[in-house]
Amino acid sequence: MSDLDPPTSEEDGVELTAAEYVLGVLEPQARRSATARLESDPTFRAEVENWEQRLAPLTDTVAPVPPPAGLWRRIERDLAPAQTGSNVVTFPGRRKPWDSLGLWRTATAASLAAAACVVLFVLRPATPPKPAPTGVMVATLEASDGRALYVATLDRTRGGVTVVPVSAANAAGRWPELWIIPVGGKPRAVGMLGTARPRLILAKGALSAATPQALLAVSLEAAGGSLTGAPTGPVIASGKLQAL
Amino acid sequence: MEPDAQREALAHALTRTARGEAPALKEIYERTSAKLFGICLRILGEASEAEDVLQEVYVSVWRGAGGFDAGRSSPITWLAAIARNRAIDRVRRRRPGRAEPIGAAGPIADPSRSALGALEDAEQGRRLHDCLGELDEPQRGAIAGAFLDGYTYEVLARQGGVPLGTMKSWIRRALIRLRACLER
Repeated sequence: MSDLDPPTSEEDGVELTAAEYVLGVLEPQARRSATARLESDPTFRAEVENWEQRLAPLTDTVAPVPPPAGLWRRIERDLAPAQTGSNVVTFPGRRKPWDSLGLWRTATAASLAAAACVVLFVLRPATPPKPAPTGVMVATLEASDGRALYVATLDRTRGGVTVVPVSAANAAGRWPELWIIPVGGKPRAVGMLGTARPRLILAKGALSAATPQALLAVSLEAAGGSLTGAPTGPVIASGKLQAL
Repeated sequence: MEPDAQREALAHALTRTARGEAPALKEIYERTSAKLFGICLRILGEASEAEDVLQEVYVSVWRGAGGFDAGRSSPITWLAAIARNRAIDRVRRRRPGRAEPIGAAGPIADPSRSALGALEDAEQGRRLHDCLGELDEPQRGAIAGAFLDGYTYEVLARQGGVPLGTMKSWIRRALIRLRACLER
């Protein structure tokens, strides 16, 4: 604890440190001591568990994001020696190039589409494989130099699109806005994006224009988005939708 | 599946994982990886780092699933705590001076208000929602920012435009009030 609000008793001090540990606000040194204390001090551990329970519902406010399809294979490879009968050879500490984010930056839309299929499959726990639902499309949004900036998974039936930034866009003080451009049509605003965080945008109206070969594009706009209903800033990334 | 049934299925899978049954770990991954990846991404802001952390989480679950005690903790709370702690440890190891992810800046009050809306789903969430609602807005925002975004006191103070000491005492008082309210 510190110079401020000294705890009124040792018991309060333990609890407050436990709460600060769970909240994650302790400075690195204090956090390391707290982590060590978890092992050695059952009272402290119990307080930490209490606070985990109290604050746990906050994690329900975070939108779930399916991890990339290759991740389970990475975990399996890490654990292969522990699984009897596995013939997977592992090289501890080494990762194959196709596991890295580099894939997501350079992959073709086709391989991303295949990967997204696996994501959908993985997302159906304990059910037999089914054909991918119609209306689900993916796009890799690339900058003019070929660098992938965003990966989008769109579900037209539900009217939603999840957009994951895969490498930092230079927003230069402006805000990325997502557009859909139907084949032979005009851009329609979908919603504002993050530059570092995945975002789920629900926009049933605009996304009804989603068909394979339609274009998703990101332009830089003033906070709150373009007021004209059309992109006004530079387009920093675009990519065609592919059906799954 | 009903929440209770989900909880039971997860707890059972963790028990089987502790016995060394690999398919049980896969089941846990299928049931929880999107939630945990969402939590890691929120804190880390970068997909590649969040993937690394998520991998560590499930590997550590495999190696330490024996540490789960169904009598003391709900399985998803236990798993989410591992994911949050790993992600926070990772974010603290970043070299000093590195800026927080773009998008992390900005007032902390708004995201917390919208986040609170989602809490109204379950009984436990409703109680936390009500008790957070009794806090003053800057403190409520700071609690949500710390827990969900992994911000340190220093970042929270900068975002709130208050001195570090003020932010520390806000959060500590808020935590004490929160506990008192939740135990009423």
